[in-house]
Amino acid sequence: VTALDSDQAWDVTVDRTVCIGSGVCVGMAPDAFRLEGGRSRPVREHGVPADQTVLAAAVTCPALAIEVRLAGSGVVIAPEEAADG
Amino acid sequence: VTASRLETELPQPLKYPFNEESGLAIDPGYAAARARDGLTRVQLPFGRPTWLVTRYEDVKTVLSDSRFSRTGALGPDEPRILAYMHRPDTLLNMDPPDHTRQRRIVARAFSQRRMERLRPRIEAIAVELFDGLERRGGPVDLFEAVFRSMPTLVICELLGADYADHTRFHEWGVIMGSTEASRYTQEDIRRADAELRAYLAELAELKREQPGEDLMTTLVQAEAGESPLTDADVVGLAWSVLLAGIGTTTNMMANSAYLLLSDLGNMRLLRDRPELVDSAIEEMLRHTPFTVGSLFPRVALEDIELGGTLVHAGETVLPSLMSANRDESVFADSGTLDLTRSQNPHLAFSHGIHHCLGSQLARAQLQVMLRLLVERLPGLHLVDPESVPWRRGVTLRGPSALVVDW
Repeated sequence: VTALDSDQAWDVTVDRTVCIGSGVCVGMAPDAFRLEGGRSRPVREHGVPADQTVLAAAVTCPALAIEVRLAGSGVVIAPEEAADG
Repeated sequence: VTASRLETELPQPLKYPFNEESGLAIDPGYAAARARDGLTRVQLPFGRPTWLVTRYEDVKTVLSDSRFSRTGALGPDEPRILAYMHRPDTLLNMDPPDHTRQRRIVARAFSQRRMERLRPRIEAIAVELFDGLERRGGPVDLFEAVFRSMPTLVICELLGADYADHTRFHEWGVIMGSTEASRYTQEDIRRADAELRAYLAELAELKREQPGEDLMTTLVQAEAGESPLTDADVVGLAWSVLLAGIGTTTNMMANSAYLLLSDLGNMRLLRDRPELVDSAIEEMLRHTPFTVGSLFPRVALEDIELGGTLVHAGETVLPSLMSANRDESVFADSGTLDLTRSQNPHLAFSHGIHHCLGSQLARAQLQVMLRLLVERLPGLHLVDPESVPWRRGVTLRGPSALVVDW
């Protein structure tokens, strides 16, 4: 899934055992992530409206702790399993 | 945005940076600033006075709140220690959405997964360097033999550059990192910048013709992607990776080795318990004030209450990572280097959208290097502990040579 359909809803998870608390996601997508006890947590885990900054946060997380899936279907939208990733 | 009050209405600024160039001590001015009500007004060698932010939570706020802009702080008035005038087309100086777009492209090359794949190469490079040390025998300057070579080899591999050009990378890095005390002139700095950009433009051209599996190839291929990079973007990103990737890692390797060699109790601890190497590195990153002062101010886009001071729109704030890392309310016994410290949410790699892109690469290199240093050279010691030379005229603090024997 590469095209961004603005009607999509997403599930967003943060693996808090992997998160290093860099704050990249909170800075990039402040409406979608917050720091709790020094580590990131999604503001909403389910039915998150499609938003480029959430994708950017998932791709740029230095620990790759964020996963964005298409709601219900489980299809991973980000981070993509890039050939060089 | 323009500042809405006169400098004369504000406290008399303290002269900044506080730290001496030599040694790794932190100036008591930081503890005094953390204890003071409100923010501390300071004057840097270049630019206008600014608010120094020293408490952990306040520093994190500045770094993660988009009402503080990095781009807006740029220009001739930017409070600076660095003689070089920052450019708005550098990743570290961008705000969203430009920053988000570019970091997204370059982040692929620095992802955790990519770093895990690079780790065997880092280990091979380090083992080869240590094999060389053992063959030659001491005394040897670890700075030249390992700390400078290793990150340079790794960045060359990552970027797809030729290690044969390493002397030029180091020269450019030193000139670009000049402070007021440097012997280099503005003309030297301008020339080094132009030469480095020309070098990288040539490397980009090479990768367009002969793609590889490296960062420069990723960047030039992104020129045709969904949100295309321009030629100048490609050069700018590679410029950031090269300058931020070599000197800082070299410097932190030298500092961590110095900290162990100047306190043999800590060296013994890691020899006995090598499983502590990773936490030891985090603690050394937290504890070491590895720059003469803070480098990247932000401007307030609106009036913001911060740390007991109302920062007016248009005024700049200068977040101090090294001071945050010594905040007693977060780090118990913050002045002590405790290699067994387990809770260590330090800000050595900054925080928020500008959190160091290469933090995981730096960590991997520091871990590999320190493990070999502890395991491979029993009896390792400084030849002349009383006269370690320190870097001068650059923003980074650390030994300029570490002559050892074993």
